[in-house]
Amino acid sequence: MRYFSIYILTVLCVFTVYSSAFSESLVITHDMQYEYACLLFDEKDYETAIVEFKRFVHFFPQSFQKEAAEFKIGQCLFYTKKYHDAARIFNQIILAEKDPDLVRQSVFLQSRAFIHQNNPGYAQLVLHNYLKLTEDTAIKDQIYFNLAMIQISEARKGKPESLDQALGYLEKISPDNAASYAADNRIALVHKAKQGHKKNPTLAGVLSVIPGGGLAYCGRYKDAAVTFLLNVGLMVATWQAWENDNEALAGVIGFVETGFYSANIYSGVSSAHKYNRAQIIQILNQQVYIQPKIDPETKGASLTLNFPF
Amino acid sequence: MVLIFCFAASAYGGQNLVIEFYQDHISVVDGDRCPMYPTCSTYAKKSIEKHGLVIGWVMALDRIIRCGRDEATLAPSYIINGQTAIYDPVEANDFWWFNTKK
Repeated sequence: MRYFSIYILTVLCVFTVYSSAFSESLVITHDMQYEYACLLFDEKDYETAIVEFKRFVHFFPQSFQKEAAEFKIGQCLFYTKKYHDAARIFNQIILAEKDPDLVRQSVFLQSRAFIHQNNPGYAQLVLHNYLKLTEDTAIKDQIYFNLAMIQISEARKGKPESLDQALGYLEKISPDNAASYAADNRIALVHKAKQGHKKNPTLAGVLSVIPGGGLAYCGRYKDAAVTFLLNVGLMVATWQAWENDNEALAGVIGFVETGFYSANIYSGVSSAHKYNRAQIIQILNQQVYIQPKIDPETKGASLTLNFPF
Repeated sequence: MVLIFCFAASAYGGQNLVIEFYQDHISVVDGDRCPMYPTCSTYAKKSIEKHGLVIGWVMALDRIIRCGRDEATLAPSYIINGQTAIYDPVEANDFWWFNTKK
């Protein structure tokens, strides 16, 4: 029994030494963690990248790359369409004001995050604030370009007055950078959209006094005919019910007719606005620029297809 | 028909119970023939919810006037449940006077 115990102990000791000698241990360094997180980011595995960048920030809080890691977290959130959280992260980077380049990138990405949240007001506010802080002409031009794009997007949503503001921003882009933003072409297109064939909503409303008049003015002839027949029919029915001393029926039909008559005016005005919006979108979408490009480093030439908006 | 339902909906504090009754019990039997998306009854429900009874009612009637016909050539179309539907939400008709959040 004694020999057996010694034997067992010896076997256990040998096994322990053997296993510890051949088992692998790994120490994750600062660079390894950051590079792994970046690798996930490059592979577009944003959900996992967020976890790894957060791990990096947690274990290496004094790192010089902490800000960059937080910015990457913001980017990951942006690309996974978590725009609210992304905007919050970018805001922290902007307020910290540590790395000017990250602040610049955060401003533009935060602005885009607000646009994705259907909040163009905040998107513009962020850009305007940064415009006051920066002296760099290239950054200012980028801000003017982004502001112009926001205004053009608003014009597409049915606010034609936004085209004037877009024009103002495009004209502020410096001559040095105007070509890279195709500012001249865009200005010409905005002018064209402004001067395009429009329908006057007020006139459409006035013409709707005759049922269907506003719709006919906007080129909706079938709708105009239906509106005219429906309203005239209901008016005649109301009149006849009244003439036949059936006041209650006249009241009901008259009530219904009042609604359809109001809807006819609404339709006329609304159709004019919709027509104008469709015209603006059509003009802004219709052109594609083809720009020749020569790369001095590779001495190669290429053609760039440039969609204006 | 929808008109009467829109109006009656007000009696239920804007809960649109009558429109829901129409959709659940009458439209099913009557047949789903509205070529628009959302359908006219859903559009009426949404416009009343968004703008209240008076304007919602007017917008619902505006939609009934425009249902099919010219809107088919002007508004975008989508294939929904295997059928082509003309996309015409409330937002496409109130954008010129109703501001969403800025």
